[in-house]
Amino acid sequence: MAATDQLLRDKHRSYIVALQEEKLDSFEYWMTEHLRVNGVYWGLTALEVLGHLNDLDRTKTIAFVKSCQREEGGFGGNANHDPHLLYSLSALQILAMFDALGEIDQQKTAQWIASLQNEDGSFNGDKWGEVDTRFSYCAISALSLLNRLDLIDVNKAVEFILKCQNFDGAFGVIPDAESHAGQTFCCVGALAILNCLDLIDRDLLGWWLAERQLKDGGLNGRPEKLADVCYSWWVLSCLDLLGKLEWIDSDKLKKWILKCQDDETGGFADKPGNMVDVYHTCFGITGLSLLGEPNLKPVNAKYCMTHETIDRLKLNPPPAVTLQKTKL
Amino acid sequence: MHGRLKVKTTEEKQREKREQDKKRALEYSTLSKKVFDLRAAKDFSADALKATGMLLSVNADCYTIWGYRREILLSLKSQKAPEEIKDLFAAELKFLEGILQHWPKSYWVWFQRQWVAEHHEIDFAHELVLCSLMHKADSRNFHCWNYRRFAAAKAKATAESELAITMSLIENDPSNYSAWHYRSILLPRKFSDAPDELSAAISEEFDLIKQAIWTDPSDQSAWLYHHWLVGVRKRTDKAQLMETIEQELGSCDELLAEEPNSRWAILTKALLNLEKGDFDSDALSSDLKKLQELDPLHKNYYESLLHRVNHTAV
Repeated sequence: MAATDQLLRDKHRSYIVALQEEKLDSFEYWMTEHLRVNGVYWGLTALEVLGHLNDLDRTKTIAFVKSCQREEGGFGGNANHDPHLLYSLSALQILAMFDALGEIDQQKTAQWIASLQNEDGSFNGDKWGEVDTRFSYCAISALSLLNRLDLIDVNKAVEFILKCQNFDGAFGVIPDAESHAGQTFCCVGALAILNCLDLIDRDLLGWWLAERQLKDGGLNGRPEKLADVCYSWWVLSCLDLLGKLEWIDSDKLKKWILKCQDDETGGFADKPGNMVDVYHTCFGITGLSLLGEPNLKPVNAKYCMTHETIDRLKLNPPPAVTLQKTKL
Repeated sequence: MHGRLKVKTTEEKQREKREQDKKRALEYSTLSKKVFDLRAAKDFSADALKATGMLLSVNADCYTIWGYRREILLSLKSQKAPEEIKDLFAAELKFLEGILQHWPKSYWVWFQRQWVAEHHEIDFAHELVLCSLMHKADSRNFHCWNYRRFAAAKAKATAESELAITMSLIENDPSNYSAWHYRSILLPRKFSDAPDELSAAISEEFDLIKQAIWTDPSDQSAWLYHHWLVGVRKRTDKAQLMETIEQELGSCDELLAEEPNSRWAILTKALLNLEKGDFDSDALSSDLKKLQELDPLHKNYYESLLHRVNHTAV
């Protein structure tokens, strides 16, 4: 692989476009068919940030997303899969990007999502009852896009998220769970959407997030772990929302992210030299956008979608959260 | 999707690989179609259960089929006598142990185990042993830690016994963030009604963390935990706070005498001084500027601390 110090825009476009092809002879394709709708969201987001949303076939993509909606209202990861919050959010994000939210029964979707909130404010991923702050984020983000946050108890939702904050200021999967950058994005993003980031210790969290940057410039997800390009999104977006992007070395990070590109196939890998995939491609590109890489559309850190799309949606302000900041 | 090295191969090898890949894809897609068809036919038989097991063994992230498997288990349960139900779920736990060997970090797999525990009486003491075993292989597996806490609550394990688990991990390797994190949960909970005992426990923790710091001054787990200990002292035993700060400043100086460029020791000194309030501005500013040289990645974070130095009324 040749030195990759430039963003290989055209290579990434071709890489993502080629993913539209049904690769029935590929084991990997079958192994990921349950999360295809996530894959489409990652690919489409990367393309939109690159300024080429319409590289993907709009009609076919919308039809695909609609085929993932189940009668309960939620979306599955693919046409034959059960509804789940993880895939419902991606489905709505894709439709939002194509300005096609009007093509589904939004009320039904919103009600299904709201029905997953528990008494303690947490959210189940689906009818089986698994609880995870990822699902809090998916529900809050999705309902925000549908302008139906009124259907849930936002105070309780925030109360639950706050219970997941740890000694280091960051957040885990559930209360008592160890801090992890991915889960932290889910919690910080959800709190940001609900306009209540002032309820957490921002300096403490900012410091923990800044310490994710390693000497080689990359970001890890928690202490003593290796750097991974997806943390360029999970960590960076949180720093952006906390107003502390400058607490890490942007230049070094940018150089590290660019090294994760594959100049033969296009796309980004988790680390330099590894195999690429569309997930890391999305977060490599959105991360670069946050770092101010030229000719990339600015990204809204709360939603991991472009400001352009979010602004176009003209979302209502969220219901007021009336919790007081507790003395930690 | 993580950690797969890209290796260049010859054309011959590439062809071989494609053929192998095609074969695996066909096997999987055939099996997948079979299982989804069984589901569409509402087949909740033991044979259907077996088929889901075969698919999930290959792809434990195929979440819809975990749902189908649960439907089958519930259906079988409704038709069986108590002894048979016991065997059914024992077999499920055994099946999951096998899956966990290959998929130790799959959210879906761990949830299935938890779901079994919610639907059937299981031996939670055994579950704790399973967790300890898995932590021997990977002491940072947070899925396993979360499941451990779930099992510990069900088993009514004491805070003491769980603290002992963290201690044995720390004694083996002090750089275990997951173990320190668990202590940060257990200690306040254990002494929630006993502030004096908490204070004594926190004093012991300061000694413990000092050992960890001296074992590896560059390990951030210990220093982040140390920062939390100071915070706990401040919140729960304000009378002792100044004494603690002086003690810990002394500890930092001890370490810096051996390792003058330990950025964590210098940073901790700075944070302690900021907490103390009554500090020498010039000395503290000089320390923070030194940090900017030692750790340029975070120079703006240190700048924010310098800002606090300059804006603290003395």
